[in-house]
Order: sequence, then C-alpha cells, then structure tokens
Amino acid sequence: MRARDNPFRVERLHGLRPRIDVPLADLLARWESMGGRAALVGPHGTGKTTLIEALRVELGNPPLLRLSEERRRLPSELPAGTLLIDGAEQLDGRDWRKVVERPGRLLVTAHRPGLLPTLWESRSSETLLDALLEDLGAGAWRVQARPLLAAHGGNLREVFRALYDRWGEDGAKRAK
Amino acid sequence: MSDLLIRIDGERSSFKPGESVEGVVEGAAGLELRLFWYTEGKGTQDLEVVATQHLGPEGRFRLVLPDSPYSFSGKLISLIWALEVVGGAVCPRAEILVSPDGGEILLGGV
Repeated sequence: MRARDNPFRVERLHGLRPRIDVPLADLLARWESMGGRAALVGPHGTGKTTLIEALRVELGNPPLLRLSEERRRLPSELPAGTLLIDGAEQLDGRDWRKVVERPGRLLVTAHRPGLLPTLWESRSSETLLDALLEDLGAGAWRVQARPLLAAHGGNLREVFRALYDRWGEDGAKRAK
Repeated sequence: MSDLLIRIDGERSSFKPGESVEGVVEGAAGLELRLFWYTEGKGTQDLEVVATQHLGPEGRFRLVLPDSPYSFSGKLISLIWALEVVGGAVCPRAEILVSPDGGEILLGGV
C-alpha cells in the first residue's frame, strides 16, 4: 500500500510516451510545412501535454511555457526562436497577440481549435486507455478502468487518479 | 563509465539521522555524487539535494545525513532518500533508508 509501489503514481504517468499513430519526426515535418506555427488540440486529460513534452525533446529542448488557471501570464521577456506553450488558452487577448506577433516557430496546446491551425487532435478512447495501462504494467486493471473513462468524460488523468485511490483501497482490504 | 556502481561501506542501506554515509564509486573520478530525497505518490514530486561531493581519483565519498526528513511511506506519498552520481553518461542511483530506527516509517492515513 505504499505510494512508491502504486503503479498509478504521478512519476510513472510522467514516463508514459505519447500514443500517436505517426512518428514524432513526421509530426514535426508536418508542423514545419505549416510554417512552424500550429496547435495540439483536445479535451482535458487526452495527452496533449505528454505529446508536447515529447516533441520538445525531439526539437532539442526549446523553451516550454506551462500555463494554468493559477499561472496565466507571460514572462516579461519572451524567448527568441522556437517557443512551446502548454495551455495557451489561458492567455488573455493582449498576451496572445504578443505571442503570435513574436517571430519564430510556435507550438501550443489548447482545449479547442481556433488559436492556430491544428497539427494534432488528441482524444481518449478505450483502446488508448488499454495501451497506457499496459505501458504501466497495470493491464489487469482494464475492467475497472473502462467505466471510469466514461465517468470522467474521457479525462485519462482523472481516470489514473481514481485508479491510484482504488489501488490503495485494494491494498488496505488485503491487509485486513 | 558504463560500470559505475555506488558501494556503501559495510553494504549498509539504512542509517540514522546525523550519521555519515561513506563509500566509493568506482570509475567515477571527476564526477559528482549527490545525496538527496524525493517524493513519489499521487501529487507533484518534490526533491531536495541535501549534499554533494566531487569525486576524486579514488572515488571515495563521505556525506553527512541531516536530522530530517525520515524515509516514510503512506498511501498518498512516499519520501525516498538516495545517492546518485551525476555528470556522466549514466547516473547510477542507490536508495537508502533514513530514520531513528533505520527502517522506513509506514503511515496509515496518508
């Protein structure tokens, strides 16, 4: 029942690789053909952050701004060159204009299309969930996980948080 | 470099707060050894490097543990102590336990 033994702990989830049906290099080539300005689009918890982080590695680790409801403002100086923004829909109109007026390549994540042309649209599915469970060595949890996917509106992050708790509860029952 | 191995004197893996962790890392001359703790669990990972030592030609090290935190595990979070070699192509890591009785503290509620 130790947190460090839980297969759904955050550190394991951060190690998951993006499950897309094209090589990352091909996706980046598509991005270049779009002028190096595009968005990864999809609902909450469908792999956008995982994908942008993997693409960042392929690009040689350019700056990545991580925005959230708690952190919505740009830094005072934007870096030159390639810029990645996770959570671009958090920016207000003025900050978004600063970003798009800045020269250089740009790749962002957003929950809905419209900010930039869509490079990739992420969506969750039972197939994706099954594959991720296998990656975590937790394929035996498939039966419990599938109803959670529907219950959480396709948000895989919330599914894994729920499975984290269930693993702990199962362990507590076994210990009694 | 591919054979880097952290060997703790006496093959110890558990320590009390304030004790020294001593040993050798063979083949690691010029690299750095870090003593740190990190968390794993349901929330965001925390990490703190407590001490570092530049490794000389013989690779010997001696790092003093602080009074806290202790190694512990609960349902939501585990705190893990470790040594790690950095600066090379591979970064071997050795986990240790740190607590007053040398064992991991198990928490029931968290």
